[in-house]
Amino acid sequence: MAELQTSEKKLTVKIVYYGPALSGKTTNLMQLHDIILPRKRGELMTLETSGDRTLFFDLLPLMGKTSEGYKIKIKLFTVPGQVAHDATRKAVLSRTDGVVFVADSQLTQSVNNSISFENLEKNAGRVGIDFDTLPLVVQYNKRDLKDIIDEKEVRGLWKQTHIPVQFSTAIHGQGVKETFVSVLKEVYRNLNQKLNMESGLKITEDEFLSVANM
Amino acid sequence: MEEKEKFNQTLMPEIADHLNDSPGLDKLLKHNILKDISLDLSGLGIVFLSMTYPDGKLYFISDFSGDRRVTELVAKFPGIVDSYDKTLTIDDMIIRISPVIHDFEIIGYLIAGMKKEVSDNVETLFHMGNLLLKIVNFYISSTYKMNLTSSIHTLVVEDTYEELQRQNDLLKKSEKQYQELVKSLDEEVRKKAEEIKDANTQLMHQDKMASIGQLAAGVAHEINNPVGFVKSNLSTMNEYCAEFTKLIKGYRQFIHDFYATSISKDQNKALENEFEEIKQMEQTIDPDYLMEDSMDLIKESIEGTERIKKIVSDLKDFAHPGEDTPTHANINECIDSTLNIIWNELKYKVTLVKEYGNLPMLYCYPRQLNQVFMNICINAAHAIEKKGEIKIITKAYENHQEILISDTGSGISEEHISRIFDPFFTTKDVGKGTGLGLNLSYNIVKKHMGDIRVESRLNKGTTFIIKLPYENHL
Repeated sequence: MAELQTSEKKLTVKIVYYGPALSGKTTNLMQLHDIILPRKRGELMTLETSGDRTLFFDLLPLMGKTSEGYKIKIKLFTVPGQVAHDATRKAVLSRTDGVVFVADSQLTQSVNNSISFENLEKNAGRVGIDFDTLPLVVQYNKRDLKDIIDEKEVRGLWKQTHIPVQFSTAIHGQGVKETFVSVLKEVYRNLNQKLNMESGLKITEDEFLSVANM
Repeated sequence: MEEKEKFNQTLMPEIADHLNDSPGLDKLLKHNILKDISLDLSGLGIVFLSMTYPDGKLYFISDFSGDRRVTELVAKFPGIVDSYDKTLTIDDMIIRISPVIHDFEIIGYLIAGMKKEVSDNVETLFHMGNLLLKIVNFYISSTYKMNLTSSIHTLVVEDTYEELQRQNDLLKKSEKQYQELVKSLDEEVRKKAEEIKDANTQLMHQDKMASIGQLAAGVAHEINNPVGFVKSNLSTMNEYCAEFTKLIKGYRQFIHDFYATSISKDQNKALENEFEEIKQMEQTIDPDYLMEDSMDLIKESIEGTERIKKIVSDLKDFAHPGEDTPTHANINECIDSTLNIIWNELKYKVTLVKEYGNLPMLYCYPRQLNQVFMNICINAAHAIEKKGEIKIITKAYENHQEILISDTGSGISEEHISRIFDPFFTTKDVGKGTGLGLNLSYNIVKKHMGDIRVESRLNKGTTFIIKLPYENHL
């Protein structure tokens, strides 16, 4: 749940990058860290473990300011994808304002993708998040690899859900910002309903999205 | 649902603290680390090190100058700084002020001072200040990381523990279910074993009855032959005896008459002597009694053979294998035939009272019902210690016949009465009773769609009431 401190004119928003193991969640954050203007971002906090696997989470804080003087803090988290770390995923997911689901495009990973997505839905329920209204974007990563699921097929799969779908090669920075902007839009729409962002706080969508500026 | 609520209530604030909020100076930079750093700084020319909150409130100060003005000076600074590093000269001191930034927020100011003694102090202080800031920032970010990690770790441990406990509960539950299953299986096995035992006992009993039947049939056949000719001979003897008696009576009359009329006292001494001898013989032998008794003896013997014949035939009827087919029978006759067999057991202590009603024929297994009557009558006899009465009443009703067998025996105690039809239940001494008689009787009556029940009062007597319906689907 976004935290709004009107006295300090501060809005804190949490977005979680979810998905199966090794699908590129941390890579997304690393790329954003590199792309986004240094003055708008903090340091990428990773808890390094052997073999480049996320054991707890990664955190990238971002910061924006509106013309009305509102500070918008966005905290990007990743979860550990490995099945065994379900309790950690649950803890990190709690009170999130939006989720980017990073799927692995490789055909061999489709089962893992759906297991992880079901896990997301389950954990959202467990921490009291209404999954139906949760701002969510699906990113199909690793588009540069062979034997990957067809773009048309992916769009067909998700068409019914109305969840925005992005395609990316995070390792080369492609589609990373687009995914981020897409989830920011979803989050903005959701928060606008809850907090009356546009007319009440005078935070426009453009200003909100400017957090992602390069 | 429960899990969710618990998660929200107990764990959410902690997550909020560490994951969603930015902790302040107190949590990120402990006094002791600042103190530790400041110890070495004094050797490098720094006279004081201080840290304030963003609003200027003092958080930490380590003053080596002994100069009272330092605290006062520090209190003035927040008004004159912003988010950029500054180097100021106040009186005889050069002071470096650096904002400490965490998560885009100034969480405090780091202030260090040097005496203005040498010209290159400004340069030294500048680098010293930068170095200090780097150390503090590194320390803060490490602490922040550790806090986040440990809070997640705590959460994960608690969650995992809960999950394990839940699984443990489930396992316990399933173990309990298995134990119950094992218990019910045990019970089932025990029940089945008992059923098999019962069936076995019945089979054994049937087998025994069949053996007895065969034996009885064989014995009956062997006895029937001699009994047949003995009876036949006795009948002939009876006729002969009657003839002899007639003849002997004639002789005696003749002798009597002859002696009275024809012979003078002296005429024939020899004849008279003979006559006297006969008279004496008659006195000793008493031919009148002999002739009368002979006839009685033969008559009794004939009756005896008849009784032997009846018993043999009843024995054959009672337990003859292969003849277990339902027939129309008169229950009164069945009871009589049974009584005939067990009469020896009853005759010395039992007065038998029969009140037979006029019973129509009943389609039944007469031999099996005979067993029922026999079991009950023998039990009744056993219940009578010295002398008593067994009363048998039969009545016909519209749909059934009723047989009441009462005794004036010792009765059945209340604790036993509910169990008397159970197999193997017996109050008799070991070897005397099998505990099967009444169970078998019960089964036989049930087979006839009938009902058997018992009324008893201790030391007064027992009554068995058997109802046998006409419609028994046999």
